[in-house]
Amino acid sequence: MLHRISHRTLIAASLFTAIGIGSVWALSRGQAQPATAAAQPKAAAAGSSDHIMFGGTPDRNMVNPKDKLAKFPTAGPMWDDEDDVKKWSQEWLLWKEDLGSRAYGGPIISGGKVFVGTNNERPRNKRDFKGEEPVDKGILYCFDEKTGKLLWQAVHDKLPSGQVHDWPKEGLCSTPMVEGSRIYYVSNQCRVVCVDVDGLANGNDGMKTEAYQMPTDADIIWEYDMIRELNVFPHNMSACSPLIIGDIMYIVTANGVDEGHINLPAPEAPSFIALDKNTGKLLWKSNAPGRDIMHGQWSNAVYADIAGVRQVIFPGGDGWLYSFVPETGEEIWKFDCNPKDAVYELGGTGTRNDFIGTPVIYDNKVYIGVGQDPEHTTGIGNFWCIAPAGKKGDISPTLATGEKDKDGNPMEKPNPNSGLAWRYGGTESRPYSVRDFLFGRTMSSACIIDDILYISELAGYLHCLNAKTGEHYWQFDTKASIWGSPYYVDGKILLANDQGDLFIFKHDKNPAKIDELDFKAAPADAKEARKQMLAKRKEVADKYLLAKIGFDAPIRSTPVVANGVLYVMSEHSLFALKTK
Amino acid sequence: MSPTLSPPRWKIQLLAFSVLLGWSTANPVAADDWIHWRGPEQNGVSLEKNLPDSFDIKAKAKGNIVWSQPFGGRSAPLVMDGRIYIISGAGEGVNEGERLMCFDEKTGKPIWEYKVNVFHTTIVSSRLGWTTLAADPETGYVYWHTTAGLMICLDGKTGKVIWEHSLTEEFGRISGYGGRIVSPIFDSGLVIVGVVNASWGDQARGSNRFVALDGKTGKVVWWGDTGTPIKGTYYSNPVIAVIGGQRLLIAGGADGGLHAFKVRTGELMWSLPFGTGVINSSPLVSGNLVYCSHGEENPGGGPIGCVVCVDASQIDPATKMPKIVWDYRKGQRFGLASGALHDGKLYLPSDTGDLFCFDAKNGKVLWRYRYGTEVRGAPLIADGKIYIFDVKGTIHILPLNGNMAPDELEVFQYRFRDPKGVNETNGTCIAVNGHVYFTTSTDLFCLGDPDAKAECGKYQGLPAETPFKENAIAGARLYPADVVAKPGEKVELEVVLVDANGRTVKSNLPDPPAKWSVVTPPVPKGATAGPPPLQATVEGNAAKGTVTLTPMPSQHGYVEADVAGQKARARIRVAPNMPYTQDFEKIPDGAAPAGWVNAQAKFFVTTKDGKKVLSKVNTDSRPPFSRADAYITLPAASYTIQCDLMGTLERGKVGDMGIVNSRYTFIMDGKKDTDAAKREVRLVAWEAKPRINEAAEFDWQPGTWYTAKLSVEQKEKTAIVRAKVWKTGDKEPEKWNIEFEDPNPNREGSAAVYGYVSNITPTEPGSGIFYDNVIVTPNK
Repeated sequence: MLHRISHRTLIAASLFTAIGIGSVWALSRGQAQPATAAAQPKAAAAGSSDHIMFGGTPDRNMVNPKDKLAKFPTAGPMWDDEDDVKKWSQEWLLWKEDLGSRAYGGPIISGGKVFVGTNNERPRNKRDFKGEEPVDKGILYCFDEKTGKLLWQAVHDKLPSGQVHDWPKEGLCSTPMVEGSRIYYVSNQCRVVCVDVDGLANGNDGMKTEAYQMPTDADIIWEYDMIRELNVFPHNMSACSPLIIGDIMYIVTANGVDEGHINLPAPEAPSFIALDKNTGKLLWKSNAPGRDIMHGQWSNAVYADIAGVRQVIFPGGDGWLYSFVPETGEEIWKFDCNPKDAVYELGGTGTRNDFIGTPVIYDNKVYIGVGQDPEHTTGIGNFWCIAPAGKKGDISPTLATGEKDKDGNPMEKPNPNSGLAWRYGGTESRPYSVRDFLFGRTMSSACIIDDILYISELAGYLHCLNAKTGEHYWQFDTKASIWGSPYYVDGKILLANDQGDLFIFKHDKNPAKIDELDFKAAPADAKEARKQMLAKRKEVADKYLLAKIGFDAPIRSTPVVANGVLYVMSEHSLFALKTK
Repeated sequence: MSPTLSPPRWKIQLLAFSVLLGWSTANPVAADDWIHWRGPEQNGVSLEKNLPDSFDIKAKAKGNIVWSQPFGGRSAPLVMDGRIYIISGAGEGVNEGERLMCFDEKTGKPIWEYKVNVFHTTIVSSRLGWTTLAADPETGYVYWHTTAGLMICLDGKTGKVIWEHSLTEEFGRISGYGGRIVSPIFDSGLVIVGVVNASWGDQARGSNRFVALDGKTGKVVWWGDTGTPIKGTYYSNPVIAVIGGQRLLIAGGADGGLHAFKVRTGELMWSLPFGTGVINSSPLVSGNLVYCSHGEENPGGGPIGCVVCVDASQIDPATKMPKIVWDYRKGQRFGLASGALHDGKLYLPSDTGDLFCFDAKNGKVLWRYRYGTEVRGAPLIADGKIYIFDVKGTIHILPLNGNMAPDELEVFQYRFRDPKGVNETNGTCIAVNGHVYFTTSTDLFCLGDPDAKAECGKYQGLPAETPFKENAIAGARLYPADVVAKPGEKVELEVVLVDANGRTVKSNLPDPPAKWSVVTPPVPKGATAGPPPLQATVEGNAAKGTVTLTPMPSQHGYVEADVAGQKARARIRVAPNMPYTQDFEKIPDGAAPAGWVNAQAKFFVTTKDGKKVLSKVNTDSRPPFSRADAYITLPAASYTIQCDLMGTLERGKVGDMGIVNSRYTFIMDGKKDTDAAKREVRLVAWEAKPRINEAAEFDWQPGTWYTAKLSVEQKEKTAIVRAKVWKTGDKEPEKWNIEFEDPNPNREGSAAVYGYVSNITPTEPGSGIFYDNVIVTPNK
């Protein structure tokens, strides 16, 4: 662990000198590389531990190697007791800002500013009320990092089609990416937006036709309307968090089915696009999943340099991962993240999934768990580790033979070109199991440190696995849905859930193997089994759970630490908390 | 109907008599039936005693399993007169539909089943059978609102259909987004069901309405309207209450409000707009207090979600809003499941799987118990226990623990498995006749302690209504309130004078003055002329009127009676009869064809290239506007529809257009995978599944008129559906483009035109779709 962290530190140090000539960034904890002619991803400003994009870095690994988390609360206050809240706040709170009623975008911390995406349920501008009632909008807040003061806000109208394209009250769901003086995100209107981080205070740069131009409004530099330009039909919401490598920005378009959930109105529209980050001009596009898009597309692209092959990897609405040459969109490889006999069904019973979580790159491998729209609930899932080094074409574990078995299920055969490293998932049929599968659908992205992998799933479980082998060590039931991801900082894993609980776990380089169904003696009955299982769960908690901090609203985001501050974004507040 | 009726015929006649007179009888509270899904007191409480606190499926009877049957569901069963009824999806592939089943309550033996097809809905397989049934214990009739929008009345003993309405095709019911449709309720001789609909005239605007149908005949008694703009479709199931002596139907609405209507007239008494999205949870009533909740934003902003308690005896006369006693708005969503009310405590599952227990008086949270991560079913409180499901196949039996949360170690928890996949439990338990009944997605269970004595507490009926007085006339209604007639037909309308509670009263005037008229519809906003009045003559007296329609083949409008100063209206639609042709030449530009359903605001007549055509609205991207069926005829069998169609290219896209016959849609699909690809035509039924999706290549082009023809021939066991399309003006080809023999046939359905424009932006119209020369002819 130490030598790896020191690598990052080293890289950060080298960045300090590299600023201004095009930064370099060593990927996947590999060796620092010299800058080449090919564009390389950028990192946060030197000396800071800014969190500038979804996952922090282009490898999207939810690991913060810089910050310390020396102190943290072990519990939340009694939220109904004003005195207790006051006392707790004095001890822990740097500042707290009201958000709307739902908040999924960010937080992003960059250049002394904090950015979050939310809705307009607590309008900051009188204009955005209709009578007493807030007008539904997508909102990006820009706060001052030190004080939490609102500097400006981007206000995006809703699409009139409502639930079909722009679900009411969901706000702005994209986690933005900041580079220098520009912040990029996908608005609820399915537009890629480039905004000046300094707002209108330094004048109106770029496009001048912003719908809202009061001093607290956003200074939009350019907008790219994927509905208008590409005929994209976003299903329910556009939520992609941009990835920028060099001058190119990569976006998953959200193209999907209509409200009937079968018909794909725009199969010809691209799913993946590359834009010039300076102008918003389209560079290349791909509709690779085509008619096989099952539902929508809400995941994000990841960048990797795997054994010398630079690539952007897109999660498709057909449950395949697609790797492309960053500059041209030429396909390098693709990988099917579903067994061939999996069936897509609306609801919890289907076995074929797509992606909500984002792929993560670590040690030349790609890590991703499959999932679905949380409205479809949990169900059987799989977590994949893919080693694409040196491979091209279809690197799925199996190939469809084109034939069907006696039950009418498609048959498969091993793929000689398989890029599979390992898979965690499948059915769980041992007695007294509380569910039928090992790994459920996930909306989370993995967090990998010291070859130990943490991944949460929608149903509230956190799993600890060996990143090299896929061996399962332990799991913990947070008992509420998880929309965010596990996040590593300073030897700890942070994870928040829909109950508003923030869990802090102890990271262990050599985790204990604790299996709640591994009974010492066969239990006499369900009650006895339950007792033994609860005891095993307690063992995990005793060993690894450091804190459970209750907040006053569901948390549907990933807690992050930046520049020594812990940010927790609940559905209606952003908390900046002390870490020392 | 079955010759042996139970209860005896005199009882039915008495009931009919009492309904006619509107006697203020308190609801009969039988302890041996479970009619309303939340129980005899409609509050999620059973007074049965000695119920099992655990079970063991393998141990069968000794394990408290009285019987089980391999038929599942996702709602609460209904028990009436020794029988238990459930609904669910049934069949696979092309044979998939929705089924109502009746079992013997004691033995679990299946008695009868009735299966229907699913059509004209975006609801998918996994959400079939989500409503609960209603029933009338006096007649033994069972009422079922199907996913496709059929409202069916069946004889509970035999399964024979007594009457049926197609709410979608007759009244423009909008299919629920993601499975949201509402359960019917039976009271005062009426079966009442909430819908989001848009049909014609004063109901052309999409709204959340309630329709009350006569329980015996299915005729429309009244329409009630929540009145404010809808936010989507919803599934808040209503309750009946008597508050301040007034008998009310209380329900959450698709407009985000909590509403109370007079049960017998549909008059809206009060509303509480308390959510900015639809209300899905069902209200609970105790005395004058009404509880409801949601998981949406609140009108004033702030944290999401709300639990509210109002005093419905205190209505602000200016705002018509009840007084709020308390509300709980702390960022917790309570929008998916409904609650239970027992012993001064409100039990309510949050959307994230916490069971909250509130002090019902003041909204103080007494405790929370986490039992799952996903919830749909409601808690049942019975015999000192809470029975509740989480969605993921698990039942939790929680012993009540006073003002404290249930003890986790005392909880019984059992997970149902499905060898074919995940067993889901979306339903709600009921407890009646000493047993607990519920469905998982695979099975129906009857639980009971074999050694226990059946014992039940006494249920409270509703409070008494205001005493009845003759001549206390407060209003009038016409019966039926909404009629579909044939051209030239005579329609009889009955005048019903009612008191303030909607009960039928007699005037003490010997011959009350009566004036009947055909109403001239108002001029719509922005228009220079209003739609024409009904072409009919009307005459009548204080008791009834006769409307004589002209032979005009297709029209709609209103008739009004003014009796003793009380005005009442009826809606009359003359639905096109076959054979029917419509070239739109006589319809003014901007108008929609009269007598059609769901045509206004979705389709309009325009002049194109010198001739009148029908055009699909392509400037509004909201789902009921961007995609619509305009229903032409009433549901009918064995006919052919032909229509000329033309699509135009807009920003590289062409819409989908088509024609509908017997619930089959023939679509000219505008999509192409690539610019070079060819277009297809498709025959679909229940497109969201899809049950049928037969495609054929037919590379039709925008800007060109085509003639499409869809014919359905009914055979003994199947239906043969044939579709063809050719360039208008060319000779009709012999060959059909698609021919499909449906082994699970739709036996009837309305003729309709279909259009779907998917590329409308906030500032630009989408592709154009045009229709001309609609011809509907019966098969020879």
